[in-house]
Amino acid sequence: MLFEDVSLRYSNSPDIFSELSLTLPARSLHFLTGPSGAGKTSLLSLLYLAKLPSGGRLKLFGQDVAQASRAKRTNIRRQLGVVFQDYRLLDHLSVFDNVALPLRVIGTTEETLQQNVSELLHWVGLEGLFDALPAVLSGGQKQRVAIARAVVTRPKLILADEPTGNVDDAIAERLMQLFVELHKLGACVIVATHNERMVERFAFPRLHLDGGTIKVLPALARGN
Amino acid sequence: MAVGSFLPPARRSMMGGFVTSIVAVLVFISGIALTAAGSIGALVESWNTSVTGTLTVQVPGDVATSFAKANNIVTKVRSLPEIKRAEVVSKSQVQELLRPWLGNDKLIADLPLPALIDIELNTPSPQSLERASSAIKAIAADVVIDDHRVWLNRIADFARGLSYVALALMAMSLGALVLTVVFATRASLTEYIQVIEVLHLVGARDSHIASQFSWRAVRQTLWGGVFGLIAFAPALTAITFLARRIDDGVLPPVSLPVPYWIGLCLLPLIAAVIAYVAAMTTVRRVLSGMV
Repeated sequence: MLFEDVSLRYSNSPDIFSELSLTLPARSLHFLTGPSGAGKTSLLSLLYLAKLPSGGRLKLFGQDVAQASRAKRTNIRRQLGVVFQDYRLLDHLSVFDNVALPLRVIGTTEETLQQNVSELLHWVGLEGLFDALPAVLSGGQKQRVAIARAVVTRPKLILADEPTGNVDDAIAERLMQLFVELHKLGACVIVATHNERMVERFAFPRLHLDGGTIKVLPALARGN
Repeated sequence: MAVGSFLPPARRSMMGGFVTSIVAVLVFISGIALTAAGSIGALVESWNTSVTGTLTVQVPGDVATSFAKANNIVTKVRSLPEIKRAEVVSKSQVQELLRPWLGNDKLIADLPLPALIDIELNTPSPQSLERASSAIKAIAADVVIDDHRVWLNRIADFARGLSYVALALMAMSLGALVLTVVFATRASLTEYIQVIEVLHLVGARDSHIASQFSWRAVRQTLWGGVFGLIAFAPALTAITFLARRIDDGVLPPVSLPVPYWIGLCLLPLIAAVIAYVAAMTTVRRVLSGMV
């Protein structure tokens, strides 16, 4: 992942950030920190290709996203896993079908899909809720469904926007452990969070966004 | 969840019933228009066939002399090579033809009706008509020859005009169908924008997302088309029944040509194809606005 003088603004408003330059290697895990309104969610939206940079160059998996064709951008998206702050679960689909959605989109066979989704839902502690609709889930349960959906395809880059914001400490730790496992398996993970305790508990470097600039800071403390 | 189907069931969509209802009405109107166009076309053709190749000759003079003169002309005309049949129309037959229009037997009996000769040609063509007319004029210069062309052409022009209006009505109905599907698809896109965004962000291709909407539009349109045709069937039966009650002399029996029957049966399919293309184009245009 390469940022070269990347800036972002919405229509005629001032830049949310400008001239961000940064290189993140594969197989890394970073927390994305910064005060509210610093642009963490906007930065993530650039990375999951909901927006294009208004200036500079952003390369993902070696491809300049602004220059990439539509088909190539779709292929890039298929290598991403995104946990949205507002979950973005599809209300008409069951827990199982929400998690299976990215696999179905890429054409995974039902047999493989059943096995992978079931295992993952057990792992995030939702084994009894396969057929439940999102409307009956608590905030924490929705969060876990969103995380399961983000990681079910074993993406190369996982972007999580406050993934532990609505869960208790035990679940939060378990979910972070899942991200760490995926990182160990080779994924690049960025977790945007305000949870300083979690940042201290898991010793990973931080991308600190503040005042329109970004700094790579070392881990706060040694955890695992 | 069926593989490849990501949208909420259509019954939960507020636009589903709207599209089906509007399409049913439009297919009904298109059916009426297509039937009108086909029937009028067949009627013109029927008139054309029955009139082409026939002549009516009016023999002037008073009743007594004109019929004698007409018999004399018929004898000579029958020897002409263009003529297949030539007969004097009897006075009673002429009176019978007038009865529906004048009604009063006494009035008709008192009318100084000219003798008429009904002639059928061997070859029903304009050239044959021309030659026969010249030959008849050579036999009796004072007769009046009516080849029915003038009034037939006027009626045919009028009927063709009606036929074009009917086809234009059908075209407008299909145009309204396009607008309906575009509107409904746009409304559905607004309704399901969150679903579309999620699908887009998890890597669904535009064609895949667009096909979800297109096939939904096809299903709704097909149902609407079938309902429209079902509603049209009794209307067609009623129109046919009323048309058959009209006297043959005024309106010859007309049946809808086979291509129009096929067109009627294909209306739901045509509507579905239009809906598919309209929905696909609309969704792709909206998706192209996303990164």
